[in-house]
Amino acid sequence: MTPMQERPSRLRRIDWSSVAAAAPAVAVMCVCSALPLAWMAGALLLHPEVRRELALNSFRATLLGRTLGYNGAAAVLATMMGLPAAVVLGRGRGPVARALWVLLPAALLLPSLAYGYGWKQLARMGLPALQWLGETQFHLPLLGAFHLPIQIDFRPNGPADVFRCIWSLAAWLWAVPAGLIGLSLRRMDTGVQQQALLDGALWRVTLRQLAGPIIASLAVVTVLASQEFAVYEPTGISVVATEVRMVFDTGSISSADNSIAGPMVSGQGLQSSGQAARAAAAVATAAPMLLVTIALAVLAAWGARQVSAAESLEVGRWPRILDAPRWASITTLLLLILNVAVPVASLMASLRVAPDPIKMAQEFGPQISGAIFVAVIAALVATLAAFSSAGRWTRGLLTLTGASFLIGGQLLAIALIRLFNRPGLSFWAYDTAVLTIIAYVGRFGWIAFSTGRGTWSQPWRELREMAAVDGAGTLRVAVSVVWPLAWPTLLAGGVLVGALSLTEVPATVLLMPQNPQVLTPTMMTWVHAQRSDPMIEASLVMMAVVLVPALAAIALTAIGLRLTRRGLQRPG
Amino acid sequence: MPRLRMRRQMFGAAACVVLVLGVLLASGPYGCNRGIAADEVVVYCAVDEPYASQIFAEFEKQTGIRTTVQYDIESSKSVGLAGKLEAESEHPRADVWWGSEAFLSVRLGSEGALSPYKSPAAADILAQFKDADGLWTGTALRARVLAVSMKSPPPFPITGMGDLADPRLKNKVAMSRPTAGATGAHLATLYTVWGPEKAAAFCRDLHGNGIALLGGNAEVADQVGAGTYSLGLTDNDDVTNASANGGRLSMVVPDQDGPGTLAMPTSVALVKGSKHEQNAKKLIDFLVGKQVERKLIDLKFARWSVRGGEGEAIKAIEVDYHAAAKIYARAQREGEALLEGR
Repeated sequence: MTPMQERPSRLRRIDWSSVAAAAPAVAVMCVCSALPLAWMAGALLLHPEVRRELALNSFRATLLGRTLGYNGAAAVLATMMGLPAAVVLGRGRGPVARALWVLLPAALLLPSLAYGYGWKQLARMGLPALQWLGETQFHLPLLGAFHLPIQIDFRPNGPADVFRCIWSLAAWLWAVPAGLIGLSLRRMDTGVQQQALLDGALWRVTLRQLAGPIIASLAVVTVLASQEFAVYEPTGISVVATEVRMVFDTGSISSADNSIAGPMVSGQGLQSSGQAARAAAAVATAAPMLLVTIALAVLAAWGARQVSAAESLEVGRWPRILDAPRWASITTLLLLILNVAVPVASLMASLRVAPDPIKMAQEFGPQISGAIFVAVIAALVATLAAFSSAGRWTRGLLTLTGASFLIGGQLLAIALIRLFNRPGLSFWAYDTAVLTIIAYVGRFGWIAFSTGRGTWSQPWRELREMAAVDGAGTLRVAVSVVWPLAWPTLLAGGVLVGALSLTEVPATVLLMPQNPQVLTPTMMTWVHAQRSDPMIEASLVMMAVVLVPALAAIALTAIGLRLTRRGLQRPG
Repeated sequence: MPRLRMRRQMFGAAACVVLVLGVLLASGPYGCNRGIAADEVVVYCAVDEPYASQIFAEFEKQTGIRTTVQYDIESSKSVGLAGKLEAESEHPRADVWWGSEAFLSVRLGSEGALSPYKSPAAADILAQFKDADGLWTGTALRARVLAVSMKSPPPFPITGMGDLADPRLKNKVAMSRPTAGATGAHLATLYTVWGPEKAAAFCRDLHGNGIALLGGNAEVADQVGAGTYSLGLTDNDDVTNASANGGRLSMVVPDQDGPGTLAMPTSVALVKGSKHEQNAKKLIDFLVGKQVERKLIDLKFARWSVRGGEGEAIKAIEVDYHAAAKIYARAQREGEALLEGR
């Protein structure tokens, strides 16, 4: 056989159908996740100054401790608030539960920047209760006759200010534990629950079974809160996220004992530290937190496995005796009002000018349309990736895209800036929307891939095998069997990526998109003012804009679940 | 037949890859078209957005040239934006740099990020407020001022910088962290004018008096206006803003019977390698012109003119920008450490 004859047969052996199905997902993953991760690995391995800075000195330990302390507190608070809602989501079967499945995810998609500003407005309104708290000295009883005097300090960076930040994050993220724990509760065996109820041990048994999801919730909220800096930065609170940005932007850290950026600044007079040095210093600043994030991610994955372990469990007909108690529904509704309505109402009450849609359109129009444009393209890319991964799953997709999410928006942006800030790449990537889109898909692409991964569970595999028996190739199975059933869920994944892109802060602030410009960096310039009308107006506009894709994603998910359930029950 | 199917599948694979790349590239023209638009000028602007946006709107109205503006962020201030400009020096995005003070422009000029341009509109600007080689031109003077709370007023009349270290105001004084912006520039000036020993001793005294280091000058003015602190060191425009937003505070220009205060012109410069050089020059002519300076004074962003004889009189420290820029890094690092008591 001559080589000329051999080549076609080799080509024929390649399953081009599989390649066609997998290609978009792999391409998206490589460009948006693997590339920045490779830069990160290079920065850690190749720069001796970064490796040297990995030692945990007192400054780094304090910074890490403070970050974990504050964000861990936000996680505890969010989980505590999420528990009643989880009970309603897990055991409720009425309209309240149904409404919660819509309202909670929608609240989670509202921009953190706007949320934080809403709470700040409430704090500065001079409410009598807050004034009383600030002026009253409390006495904490200790041993015997000893009392510890406590005065709540409302000064910037003081205890009350820190609590405001923690509260803002908890009030924004409480939907995460509510959803995770609620989902687990919904999948718990009703027989076990009924038996526990008869034994008078329902709550004890429930809590024991929910230990995994609760731990996962704590880990997830801590990671998400640690990636946010916009809530802490305005009053000068120093956490890892604020310092990473400060080091990358200015070459120096904003707080004490700066062992990282100090050598870069010293003795350089007129010279500034270069971007490469600042990027390496930013990676070094983030490195200890990254290790903690990996540990938390493992913990969250273990907890999430507890949720998915019940995937194929037949819970049977719901016994009304297990319905969510009324106190849970009332508490959840009160929390919903507190966590969503209060910050929004605070924003509205602080607005000193009458909202003028024409003026707002003139002022924010180009940036809003820019943000929508970028979000739509990001959603399209993510949707394509979701459909592709549902057609042919490639090992490592979720791990790599998950990792590019876990490193956080700031490091992702720094990696992309360092990769694309070159003369040859500026015209088509650095100066355009491409870089921003890559950042958004790199950050949230894992959601789209998760929806794709969902179509590789056991019932779906059985369906695929049945189609394959009939002689259909990978692509044919995807086109004719999987996509017709899973399209709403896959599309919801893409829409969700778009919705999150609209309000993303950490990567956007570092990238400062220019063509088109988006609203977030401008909002970051206003957020420092105690009360700014443009900031309030922009916050309310962003909240309204993001609600559209958020509700669309929720509706698509609901349609998808119904379609999938029906399709998988009656294959063929 | 199998060959036909194989071809179809290969075509499908290629089409999918092209689709992904196509979607990404399709977003490029949105930027590319704007990037090369002849009627555009890109500005990196460290002057506060509420003021600068009005100036750019006026420029667009007068010339029809569209301005694309990148503003700085309060905490990292102009240093962050200047760092971006330096990092992009091989393929500059920006055409014009509008700094909130002059020290960074001196640095950018020395690093070769700026091009010389002597605007005809700057002929009447005093020599001390523009670079001799035309690398930058100053306009619209702001000043470092003391914000005095009317809600929690100091127990004595405020006159100068020394009042910040007065024990009667222990734990009631605030300033911005000197990491960047005007506060860093102020510290560098004190190191140059007073000498490092006296400036360091002053920082120690401030720490001893419990000075709070906040996230930005706007925050200082806001907190003084809210009565959290009695006295704060900040910029005149931040006092104006805080006052307009309901804060109860007044402004004292310090040391008018002594050496004067730091007066800072905003600085305008042409970026080296500008893609829209003609438009950039038109914008620079506009920005350094009398009308814009007047407008910035009317808007209460700036208080004084760089042309002399316009606006109120102010006693300002004479600054050697090059000397101050040289000591900037040391002053910033050492000053911050001393203010924090390290």
